[in-house]
This record gives sequence, C-alpha cells and structure tokens, in this order.
Amino acid sequence: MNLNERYYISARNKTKKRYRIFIILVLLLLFSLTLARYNSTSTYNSKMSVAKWCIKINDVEITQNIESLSDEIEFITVENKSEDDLIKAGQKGYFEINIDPQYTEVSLNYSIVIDTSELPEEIELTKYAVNDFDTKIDMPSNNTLTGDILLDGKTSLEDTDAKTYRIYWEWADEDNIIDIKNYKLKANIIIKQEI
Amino acid sequence: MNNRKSKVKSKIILLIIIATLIAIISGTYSRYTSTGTLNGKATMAKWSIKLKGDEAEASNISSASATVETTAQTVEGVSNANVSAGKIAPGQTLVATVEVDPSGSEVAIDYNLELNSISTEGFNSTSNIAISRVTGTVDGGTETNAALLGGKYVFFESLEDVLANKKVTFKTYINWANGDNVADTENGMSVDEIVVPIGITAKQHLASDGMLISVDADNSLEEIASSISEGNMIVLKKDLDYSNLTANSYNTIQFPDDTVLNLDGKTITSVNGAKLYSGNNLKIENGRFVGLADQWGRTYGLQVWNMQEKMGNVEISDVVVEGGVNFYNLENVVLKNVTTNATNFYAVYGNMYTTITIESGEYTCGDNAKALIGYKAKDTDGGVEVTNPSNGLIITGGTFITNGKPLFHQAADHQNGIIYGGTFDCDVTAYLAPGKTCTPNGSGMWVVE
Repeated sequence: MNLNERYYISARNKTKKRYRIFIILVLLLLFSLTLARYNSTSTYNSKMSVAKWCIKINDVEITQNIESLSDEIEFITVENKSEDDLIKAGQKGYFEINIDPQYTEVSLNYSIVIDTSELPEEIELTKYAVNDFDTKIDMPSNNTLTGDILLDGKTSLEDTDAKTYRIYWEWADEDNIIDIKNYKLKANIIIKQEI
Repeated sequence: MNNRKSKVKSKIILLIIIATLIAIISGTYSRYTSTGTLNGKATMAKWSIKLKGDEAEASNISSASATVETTAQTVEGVSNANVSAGKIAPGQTLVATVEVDPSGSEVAIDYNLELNSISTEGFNSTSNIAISRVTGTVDGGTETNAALLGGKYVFFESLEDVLANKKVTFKTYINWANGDNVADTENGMSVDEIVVPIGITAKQHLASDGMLISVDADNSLEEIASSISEGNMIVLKKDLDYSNLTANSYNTIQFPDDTVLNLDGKTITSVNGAKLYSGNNLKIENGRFVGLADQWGRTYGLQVWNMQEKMGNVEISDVVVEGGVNFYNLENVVLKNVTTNATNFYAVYGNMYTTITIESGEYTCGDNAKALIGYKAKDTDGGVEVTNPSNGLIITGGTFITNGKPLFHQAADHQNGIIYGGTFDCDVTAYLAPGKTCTPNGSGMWVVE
C-alpha cells in the first residue's frame, strides 16, 4: 500500500466516522424530542380495612370454609342413661353443633350435613331445634341443615348471632347384638360468605 | 543568461501575485465592523403538580416523586348490608379518592392511573383485587369515566381548565372479585388492612397525542363528535344501538378532521342507512358493526358517506361488520383486517368517486348476495353523469369467499377491481394487475402474488 492509498483509506474512514457521528447525533436529538415533555409520577396508597372472617364451631376456630368435625361432637343421652356412659339400644339423646360467627364482618350462609354412615344403623336422627330447644322440627331425610346469619347493616356479627343446632337421636330398643366400639358421627359443615 | 532572466521574471510575478493576495485579504478585513449579540427570550411554560389524599396538605410531585395515602370508603349510594361498612371483602367495591392540583401549570395534562402490586405483609396475593373503574371530576364539572387503554386509565385536563387552576378529583373504584376461596378466607382471617398502591402519572399533553373522549352512559357519539376539535380519539365504553331509527334516514355523524373512532371492542347496531359516518382522515377501528335490513333487504352495518365535498382518507381496521360496508364520495378508503359479509347485496360497495384499497381481512358472500364487491363505474352528481376512477378499486390482500357468486358485480354502470394480491375461492386471472399471477394452492383456493 502506497502513501496515496493510505491517505485515501484514512480520509474515507474519517468521512465514514463523521457520517456515523452525525447520524448518532440526529438520532439522539430525535430521541430527546420524543421524551421532551413535562412528566411527574407518584403513588397514592389506598388503605382498606379487610372485613373479618372469624368462625368457631363447637369452640373450635375454623381455618377453612369446609370442615369435618367428629371429636368435637358429644353425644348426650337423656333417656335410659347407662351407668357406663355407653350409648345403647333403647336410649334417646341429642348432640349439638354450635356455629359462632362473633366478630365476623360479613353475612354468611352455611350447610351442615350429618354423616351417620359410621353409626349403628339402628340410630336414627329424629328432630332438630335451633337455639329455641322447645321448638323441634323433623329432621330432613338427607340429614342436611342449612341457614344463614346476616350482618343486616351491623358493624359485625355478635355472640347473639350464634346458632346452636340441637339434633335429637334415638336408638330403637331391639335385641340386636353389635360390637362395642367407638362409633363415629361426622358433620360436614360448609360456611360461605353471603355475596 | 536567458534562464536567469526567466527565473527573475517568475519571481517578480510570484511576488506580484502574493502582494495582490495580501491586498485582497487586507481589503476584506479593513472596514468598519460592529458586532452585537441578539438574545432570543422565551418564557417557559410552568409545570406544577400536587397530589392530596388524606393529608391536610398536598404533596408537590412535580419536583420529586412522593407517595400519599388515602383511605378507601364505601361507594356513595351503594349499600351492601352483607359487608361491614367501609370494609373490603370478596364481592365488595370500595372507592379511594385523591385530588390533583395542577395550579401553576401552563400546559394541558394527561393523567394515567394504574394498579401497582399489592405488597401488604401477610396478604395472599392470589385474591383478585383490581381497579374496576376510575372517574375524574374537574372542579365545577361532572364525574366522567376515565378511558381504559393499554391497561391504564387515561384522563385529560384541558389547558383552559389548567390555567383556571381547576383541580381534578379522581375516584378509584377497587373491587375484590369473588374468586379463590382459600386465599380469600386466609386474608379475611389474618389481614386487618391492605394497602393498594395506585400509580398516577401527570404528563404534559402534546398536540400529537390527540384527546381521548369516552362515550359512556352520560353522553352520546353525536354530541361528542360535534363538540370536539380535530385530531382526537373517541373511545366507546358501551354498545350503541340505533336499531330503532328509520331505515335510510341518513343521520350523519360528522367527525372533525383526523378523528379516530375506537370502538374498544364494543358493538354498534343500526338499520341500513340510519347512521352514516363522515370525516376527513377518519379512522374507525377495533369493534363490531351489525347491520339490520331495510325494506329492500340492504343490511350495511357500516356506511361511511360524505354528502358534501369529497373527503379523503378513511381507514377501517380491525372491525367485524355484519351485513357489508358501504362507501360514498370518499377519496381514499383503506380496509385493513376487516371481516364482513354480503347478505342480500355486497360485502363491499363503493360509489361516487370513491377509491377503495382492500389490504387484508375476510370477505364472504352469503347465499342471497348479488356479488362479493360492487363498484360503480358511473354515477350521477347533481344530474350530471360522472365517471368514477377506472383504478378506483384495488385489492392487495385478504381472503375472498364468493361461494359461487361474482367477485365483482357485473352491470353496465359497474366496473371490476384490480387485483395485486390476496386469496380467492375462484380463479381471478381476468382481474390481475400487470405482472401478477393467480395460482391454485391445492386447497381449493387461488393465490394472487
């Protein structure tokens, strides 16, 4: 490569470089023009109190909307009580399910499904009463009890909004021999916010 | 000797040249001169934005980013006996109010509002809490919905209102959707308060931005079109129903120049000829038109007509039109991604000087259609017969389903289009532009390229 060629290449490179710089400057100018406006950003924090959800069933705090209770339900015998406290044929009694929504800040509805599949088939659920135990109602054939507890404009539900279901059972007096063991009664309870 | 004389002569000539040059150069410098400086002064438009929530004093956000707090409240006039007042729960909406004070600013302003991530400790973010609506009320004005565009709520304050120091009160409606029971229950049991951060940006409105106007329950498209200036975008926030208007009554909505009518996914229903749209550099986009039949069975769902001077440049894009599109007296109509069908007449019809370019979309003939496309060759203008452009109908792309009907309506006063591209269910060789080919694609269609 001779001097002239080197000069030509160098000069050409310089021209290209100047061209590139010019293009970059133009692009920067255009870019700044697109961003060139007044602009202010902020955040406002909206604080919101969350309506409480606070449910106890038979004094047990419920953490989810579906709960299956067994140990918390106590069989009470009122007729033909035995000395050994076992449940036997010929007896009558009840058990209770208490729904306590005190402090909850929304209305709710619930269903209670009593599962007697693990009880002796001779035991029958006959009637139920809600809070007023003098008024007894025939137990539905599907052993399902439903209802609601409404806020009705109040700030929160109170202890007086609790519902106690007393469910009456009978074991017919028959000469059937069954094993003595711990039978289970289950109550599947679904409690939902009333939307 | 001669050489020496010649050399001396050369030197003398050189000296004369140099002296002359020096004289010329000194001549250019030797004159009276005066130099001054001209200072061009321009007063800068001011910018000042303050934001106020619950605090007694507003925070100036124009100089530094600031965060204000506001306590959400029960929506006024909306009672929910099943949720404790002022509290949020699934299925409940509360409203957060802030006030923006642009006093001192000297430009028109666009406000953008959007929900930021909720990061309250212990809060299960699976719960669906979102903004359901934002309204803005300029001092002395009425509460107006902000338009939702691109995930942000957009509200415009005019220069006139800003110069009058009018504050804007924003109400952000925050809804907790009834969704994931596990997360919702967890939050109801363990969280007392959540903080929902709303980002708000105030930015200078440039003329090139256009103005955003929402058509919602409180106003009408006609009212807005007649009240705005050029270069704005109108966004529909609800379906429009013109089905009870008289067919062919030609009620025209006249848009100012450079208007964009964005249907935002909404539907406009009208009887044939009851509603006409007119405007120079008009864009219609992003929605659905439904045409109902007149007494002759014409069902054009979208009719863009100009009844006065010829207007130019209409673009229809990303719309579905049931019943066909019809154009009259327009200089340059472009159809992009338009889906439309011919019921008893045509999917696309143009007349009176109109030129149409179909770039993309899907165009289909129904069983009773006359043809897929109709384009007049001759019209009558004020009793005088006029000839429409011979190249006034151009097809460069799209899918065309004639179902056995003519592609172009054949009549003495109608003409064919010129095809540069597209996919057809028939051989369209007869209509090709020079240099183009029409080839079967093996799937029952012909492709022009």
